[in-house]
Amino acid sequence: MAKTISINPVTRIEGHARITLYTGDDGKVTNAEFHVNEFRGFEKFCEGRVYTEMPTITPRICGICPTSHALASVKACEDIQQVKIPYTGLLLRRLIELGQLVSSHALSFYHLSAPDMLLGFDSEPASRNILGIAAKYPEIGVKGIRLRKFGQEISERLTGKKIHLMGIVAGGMAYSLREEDRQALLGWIPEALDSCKTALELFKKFREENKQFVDSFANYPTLYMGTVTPDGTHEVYDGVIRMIDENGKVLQDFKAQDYLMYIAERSMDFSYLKFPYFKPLGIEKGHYRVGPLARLNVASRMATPLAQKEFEAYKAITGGWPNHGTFYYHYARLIELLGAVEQVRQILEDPKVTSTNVQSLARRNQNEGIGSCEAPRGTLFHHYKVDDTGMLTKVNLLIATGQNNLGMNRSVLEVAKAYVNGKDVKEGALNRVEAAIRCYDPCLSCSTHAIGSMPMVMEVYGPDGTLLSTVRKDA
Amino acid sequence: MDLLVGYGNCARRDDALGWELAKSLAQGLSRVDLRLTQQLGPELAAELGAYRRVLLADASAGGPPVLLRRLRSHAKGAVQATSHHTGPEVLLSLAESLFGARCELWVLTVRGESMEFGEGLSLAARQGLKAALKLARPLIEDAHA
Repeated sequence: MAKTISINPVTRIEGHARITLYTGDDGKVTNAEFHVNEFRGFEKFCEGRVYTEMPTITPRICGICPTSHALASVKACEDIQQVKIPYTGLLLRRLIELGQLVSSHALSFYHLSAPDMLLGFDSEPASRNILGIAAKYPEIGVKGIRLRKFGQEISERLTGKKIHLMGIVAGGMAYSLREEDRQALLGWIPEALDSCKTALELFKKFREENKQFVDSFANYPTLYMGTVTPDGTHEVYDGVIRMIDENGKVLQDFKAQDYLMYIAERSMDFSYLKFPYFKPLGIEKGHYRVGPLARLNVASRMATPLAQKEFEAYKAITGGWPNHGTFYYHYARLIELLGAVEQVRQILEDPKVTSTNVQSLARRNQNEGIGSCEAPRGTLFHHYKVDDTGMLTKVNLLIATGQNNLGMNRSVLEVAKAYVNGKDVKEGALNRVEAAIRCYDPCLSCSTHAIGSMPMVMEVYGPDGTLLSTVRKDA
Repeated sequence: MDLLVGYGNCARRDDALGWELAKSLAQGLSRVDLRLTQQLGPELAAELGAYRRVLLADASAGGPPVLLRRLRSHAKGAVQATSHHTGPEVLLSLAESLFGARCELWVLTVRGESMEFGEGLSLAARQGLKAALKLARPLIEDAHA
């Protein structure tokens, strides 16, 4: 008999979501939906605020990637001001963004996804988390906890706060880096590099022992988008936004200010998360992905030597072609993690990093600004329109996780088809479906900002699945 | 050296009790480190080993108006069903099993009346705060006698 299977909530992700699987009479999965059932609304309630408040307001969207919001926001403000920030201000922004990348990627791997790889997808759910890792593999638990702590400490030493930082302001930074903090952070580097290498070894070992699973896990071609320098080097703060097709051919390079020419969004009735797609190809063929897998598909090289060596080994898996395997998000994420620690060291060793010339001053010089950066999960855009007094009249936030919505839905379907039998549903099979979402390391609290009112439909089903009644509230 | 940790959400009325307790207790004491944070996380476990005594201060949604208790060591590898929230017991377990901490861990809670969005403590919370400070101050000052 056909039925629906609900995975609610999806565990070990940031935010709230559920998955519905639909099966046919034979128990095989026929369709899947990934529902994001929370609503934030920043796009609407920020209207009427002064635009320069946004780098302080928008970090509160998220506790995992507040820095990304602050940076995309402040770049939108600086687009309105047409201001150039000082060299040291730029260094410190890169430093703090890389610190967030370290913290977020360490959380994603060690805390959220490594439990499946180390303890097993079918292990006891109650201990399938960082605490279970700490109990069985204490040395790995220590590394995971301390690596995330290092990332947080970069933010805390520079701005005084681990999350929801303040101090990234239009024109640069509100704080400079003290020499004692620079030395303290440099002291972390050897341990952080070692923890990155441990994480890579763990993943490679898992892949070696589960090659067929890793290679076939939600493996399907899409387009990919990420930021690179003009010469194609992996980049997270600023550069060219590049869209490639499934064969690696560049479809479009564009700057953030032109994003609306290339990205459109569609709403669907089963989720508060919209579905972005590459506009020139339409929603059927314009399915693209963002984040670590996409960034390493888009980039020609990494910016640092150890990460570059890992990148070369990673690219060899697919003979240099784009990697479409969803599980390889983890591998790509760990290469980025290693590169981030290397770049943190480079910045801290820059003789100008402790300069106090960190901010330029300017006023509104135009009424529209767009900023972007690479959040840990993918490309993030903030788009502001202001009136002549600087009050916001329109806000559009295109969030990284939202751009993976088509990908997450497709991946859930692919994995469910491979592992779920509707006639005999095993917990481990459902955990594998959840793992498809974890590959993307979604930040769902970031991603749902509706414009206008919120329609709602409530359906009541009987125990046999019969629809008993429908209550509707239209927009 | 002691550590005072106040945790909670200061934008939710009485959930700011943790911060207010920790800040008030730390006033005037030079050999105390103060941490104010939204919630406890596993990373704090890495720090506990540097301290002789740690006091965690928080609001509670129920239970007695004021409670001061010492947590004892748990069995190695204590785990809970979710790592979304790291409670004091789990923090102590991680600190001891992973980081070799041997500190005294105390938990001070004051029952909150309102956890709605907003700033400012309720009357009941302010009264609880006074009673809690009176109860906990000897513990902290004793360490610095």
